[in-house]
Order: sequence, then C-alpha cells, then structure tokens
Amino acid sequence: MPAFSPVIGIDLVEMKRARAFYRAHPERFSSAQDCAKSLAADEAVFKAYGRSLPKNNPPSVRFVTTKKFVMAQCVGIF
Amino acid sequence: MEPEKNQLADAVKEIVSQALKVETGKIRLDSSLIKDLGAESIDFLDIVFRLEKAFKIKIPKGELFPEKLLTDSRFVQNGRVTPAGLNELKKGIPSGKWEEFSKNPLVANLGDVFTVGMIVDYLSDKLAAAAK
Repeated sequence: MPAFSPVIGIDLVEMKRARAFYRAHPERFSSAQDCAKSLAADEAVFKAYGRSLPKNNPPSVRFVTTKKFVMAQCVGIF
Repeated sequence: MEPEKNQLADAVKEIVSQALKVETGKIRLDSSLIKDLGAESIDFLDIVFRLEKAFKIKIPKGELFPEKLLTDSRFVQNGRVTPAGLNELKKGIPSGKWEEFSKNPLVANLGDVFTVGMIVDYLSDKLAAAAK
C-alpha cells in the first residue's frame, strides 16, 4: 500500500503574475517559474504551519506546474 | 511634514505606484494599501523588494508588513486579532493607528492600518537608525 502524505497547506501562483514579479526582481530568482515556486511554497508552508519554519527542518513541498500556474502543496515533515 | 520626509514620501509613492500599477496622483499618505490601492499579499513582497533596492537596505521578513501574523492561530481567532496578536502588531508597526483598531480588532479592519504613510514612517525610522 503506498504511503499516504496528507496535504496540509496549499497555494497557487499564476504564471502571468510570477512573470511580472520576476521582471521586476530578476536578481532574486533564476526564472519566472522559480519565482512562482518560491512564492507558492512559502505561502503553502505558512498555511500549513502557521509560521515560517527553521531552515534546518524543512517541510516537504511538492509542485504541480502548468503553463498558467504553479501550485505548491505542503505535505508535512517526514 | 519636514522636507526630508516629504522627499521620502514622494519616493515611497513612486514605488507603490510601480508595484501596484496605480497612478501616483491617486496615492495619498492615508491611502490604505489593501482597501484603496488593491494590494494583495504578493504585492507586499514586491513593495519590500523595491524598497530594499531603492534605499539599499535590508528589510527582514515580516518587519514592515506582518501579514503572516494574520494566519497564525496564536494571534488571530474567529476573524479577530487576539490581545497577543495586537501586541505583536504594535511592536511591528509602532506608528500604526492601533487605538482605533483595538476598539474592534477585526482582521478585515487591518487594511486601514497598512497605509502608505505607515511605510514612510517605517522607512524614516529605519534610515535614521542606519545613519547613526
């Protein structure tokens, strides 16, 4: 039976928005998709835990990417 | 307002204008970033990045806009900011109009506190501290 990883925090960033954000701050991200992933992951983790987590104890985040959006799903710490 | 703060206010209005795609003429110091200018959470980060670049400063996460605090169950319950949350907000934004807000501390009313003037006050203090 496959391991079950409950999604406990989720966020979605539109690529259109991410591209505009990346254009304004290209020095902070490697690409518009990287920008979308960073923004979505940060929000998803926060929704899951209610606060930012220490870097030495990172949560597991998975992404669903399409041409129009990036969705981050925080699936907990394992 | 003293001349230096006037210049600061103009610079902040310009940055807010670029980030939110709103004409500078429509931006006033008492404009609410959320209610009047339509800012969303991603815009707060955009504004912080632009301020850091323009003023060559580092703004720690949550220092200018403690928006994350609003999804923390310790500080917000049933759509209302708890006394602990209010204390955190006061610490984070000492120049905020908290007396008025604390009468009815609904999260929905927080938009009134996040104003353009709040950014100007924050920057004024931050730049003054950096100059010492």
